[in-house]
Amino acid sequence: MNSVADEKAVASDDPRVIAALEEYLDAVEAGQPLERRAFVARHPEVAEALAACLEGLDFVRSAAPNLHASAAPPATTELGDFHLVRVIGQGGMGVVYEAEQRSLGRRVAVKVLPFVSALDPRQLQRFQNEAHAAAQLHHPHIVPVYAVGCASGVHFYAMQLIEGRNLAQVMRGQRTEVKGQPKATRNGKGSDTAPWPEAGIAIESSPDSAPGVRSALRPTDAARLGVQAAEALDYAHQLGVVHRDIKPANLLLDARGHLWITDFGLACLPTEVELTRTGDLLGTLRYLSPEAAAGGSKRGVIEPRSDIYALGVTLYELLTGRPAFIVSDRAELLRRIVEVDPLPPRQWDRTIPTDLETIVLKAINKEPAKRYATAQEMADDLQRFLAGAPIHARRATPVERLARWTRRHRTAVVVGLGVALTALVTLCSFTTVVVQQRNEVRQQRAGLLRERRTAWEAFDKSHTRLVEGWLSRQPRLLPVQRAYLLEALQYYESVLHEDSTDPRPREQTAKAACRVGDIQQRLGESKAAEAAYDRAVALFAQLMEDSPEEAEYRRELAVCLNNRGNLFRGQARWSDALQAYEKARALFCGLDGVTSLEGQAGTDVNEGLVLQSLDRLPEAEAALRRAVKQFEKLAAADDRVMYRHDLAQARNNLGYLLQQTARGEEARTFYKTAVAEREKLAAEYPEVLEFRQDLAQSLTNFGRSLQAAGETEEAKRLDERAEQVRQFGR
Amino acid sequence: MALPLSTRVLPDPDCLLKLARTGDGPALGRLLELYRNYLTLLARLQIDQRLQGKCDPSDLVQETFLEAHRDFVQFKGGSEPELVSWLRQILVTNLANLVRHYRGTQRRDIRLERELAADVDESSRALDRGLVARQSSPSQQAARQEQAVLLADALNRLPNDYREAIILRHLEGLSFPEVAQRMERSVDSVKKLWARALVRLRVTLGEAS
Repeated sequence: MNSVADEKAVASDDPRVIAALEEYLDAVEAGQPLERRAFVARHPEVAEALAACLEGLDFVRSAAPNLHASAAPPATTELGDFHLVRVIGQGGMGVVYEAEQRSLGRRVAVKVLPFVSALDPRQLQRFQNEAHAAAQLHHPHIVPVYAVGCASGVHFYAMQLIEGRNLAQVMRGQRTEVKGQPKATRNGKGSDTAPWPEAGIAIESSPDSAPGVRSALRPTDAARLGVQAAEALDYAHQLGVVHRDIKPANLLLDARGHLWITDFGLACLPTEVELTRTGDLLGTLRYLSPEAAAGGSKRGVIEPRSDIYALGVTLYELLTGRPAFIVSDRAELLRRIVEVDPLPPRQWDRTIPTDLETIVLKAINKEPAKRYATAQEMADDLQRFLAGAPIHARRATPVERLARWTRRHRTAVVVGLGVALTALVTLCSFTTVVVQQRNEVRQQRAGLLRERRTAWEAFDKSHTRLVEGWLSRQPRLLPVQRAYLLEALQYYESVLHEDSTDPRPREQTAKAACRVGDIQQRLGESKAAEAAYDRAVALFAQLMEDSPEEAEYRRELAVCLNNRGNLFRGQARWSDALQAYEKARALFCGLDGVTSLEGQAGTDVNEGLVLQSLDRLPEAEAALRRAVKQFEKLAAADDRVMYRHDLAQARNNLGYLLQQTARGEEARTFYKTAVAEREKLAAEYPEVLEFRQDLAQSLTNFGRSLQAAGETEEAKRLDERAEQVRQFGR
Repeated sequence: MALPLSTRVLPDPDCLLKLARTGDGPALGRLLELYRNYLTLLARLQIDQRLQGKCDPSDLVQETFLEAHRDFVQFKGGSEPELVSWLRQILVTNLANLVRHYRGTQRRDIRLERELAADVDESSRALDRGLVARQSSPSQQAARQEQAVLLADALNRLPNDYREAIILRHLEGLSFPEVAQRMERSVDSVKKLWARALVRLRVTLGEAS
């Protein structure tokens, strides 16, 4: 009875249909609906069943809002003094009507409150209090509230009618309207199409945008709107009124390009229940401040700085044309709002001015205390930007930025490199909560001045933690990473070149030499790297001789040898590389536990790559098989991202080798598991570009293998999926 | 007034409405029946959410119909959407009383509309008046409302577990694992029910239109 198996199976039971349906629903619920026909076309093998389901789904979705009584229109067209003329807007907070106020003979907008809210006496009380407060706001950028009332059991308020559109519509609606007009770009090459020409606001439209991407505003336009909104907010804050729901949909733009904030102080914070519910609220949740999203006992006080945050996130969206957070899962969205910094706007679009980015980043700082203290300060900084004057907001230092970047990527800092895997640094556990790092970095910098030894330890520990995962793995360094590396290099070199009157302990020198080698290798300075590695290897060898039982030295030496091996491999010095790897592996074998396993697996993968280059395929295969086994063990004991990624990589590499040696069938078993794991990683960490690249790589490999085996249809499907993965996020 | 349509049994709400206006009680009854599924669904959603299912939605709808019969003379509207809104408002009032009853809250004396801040300088702002948006015309609004009625009817024709899956997932906004828990089934089987229900809904709608 606990299954549907008792009935005859139907076409819609196909797991592929259900998976596709869920994907479609997720997108819709995230506010990024997909085009139905195109979506069906992407699933040709189940097109018919899928199309039938989607038709049903779209119907349910279109009818459902009217079953939430919140959207229910009032029974009559008469609400006291107001005669409702027609619906002009509909949102989560109720329906807005154009209406006529009889006694004054004027046209107004009337917003009717969801009756669900009116059923709850506390919410109703709060609504009334706040509506009264909002009615006292008189500011050129705040929509005036004329009346608050209740008639025929319906709660409502009346406000000035603004001719224009809200900023969400402005960003959304453009592309269809500007169709056929000449394209131009922001830097004068052509495309400033004004979608709302009367207002003089230009929109940048990207032709091949990813889901959720809308048209961006010109930076100066966004800044000008930001000034107006910030000044209005400051005025309200001074009167003790907090908006609570700043978002593009609540910022109206009239025909003259004049901005109006609406719905002042009327929003109710989502309750616990609503925060965890799935559905249409998601679009609103995006603008929640971290202190509001934290929920429960951790929930902070909603204060003016929460509005500043929301305005910052809104500006982010106006500038980049995409929401700061694009996630379809509610819990995940809330987690990210609390924990994850969105990519800086310039990562999306380099033409966004740095100062403007700095202002936005300051406004959306996770810690309220680090945002602008008042909305006026934000308005002032935006004005300075517009005037070309230096802004007051300060950019984070390289160390702060890297710490933040690391926090953003948390466990996902592991990024794939198509060629190599190394066991570079394994000193610290990956699961350490990286949030602490920023403080540590700061403290240790102070420590630098006070106590050299403590400073060394703190710096080295933190450095190791910060670079673990990406230093040797990531194909391209981000600017923030490069900036950090240069700073760290300076420090380590200063340790190496210490004057001899106060010699460093040998251990520190040896480690510093190894770090310098790693950084120089990463920066492409092979000569400097080799010299540093030579020095480190010699020093560690001495240290090991003096205290053979010290596992730490053994491990450091092994890591250093492995990394030197990578350097040689990069220079095609195959036998030098092999020698280095073999020594490294022998040392790792003599260690215990996870460190040993990780190290061996890493060197095996590296050795496999060299052996492949030397065409010593059977040996390469043996090395890769060993690596797969070891990573399997590691991943089974601990599902940290690094192991999952490494295991998938090792399987992918082994599959490739097997395919080369005409064992396609076995190759495909490895490709299959690699693809499955990488699909998961890419889905879990959509912000890590490399995970998608890895996935596309494995899909392509798998597809080719199938093609070779004559399974053209499946091969084609994988190719399409690979293409889709590559397209996403471009 | 002549009643040329009285002999025809048409589920056309506009005709029924006209008949009901003339005091034709059975016509009003048939008219209200058209919205039973819809109102029951609406009541159920609210009861689930507000009262954890402590009372039966069909009782609430029955009460609503009784009051509708009693107060029909007060209904001034002439169109189906207006009628649906009116019915819904009666339902909402009953529901609100029920909520207050269960929560033990005193019935509030809600003040009539109160003018606030009416001292806006009209002449200086006259230029800014206009429309906020052009989103939804009354007829679209009506169409959507009609869709909700259609959906409720279509849901009513589905097998119980199909219907539950749709209601819980889409109308109550639960996640699949939550739906599974409520229905005491596995997540997989709930998803299958869901997909089947969607197909069936489409077929039902095709028949209806």
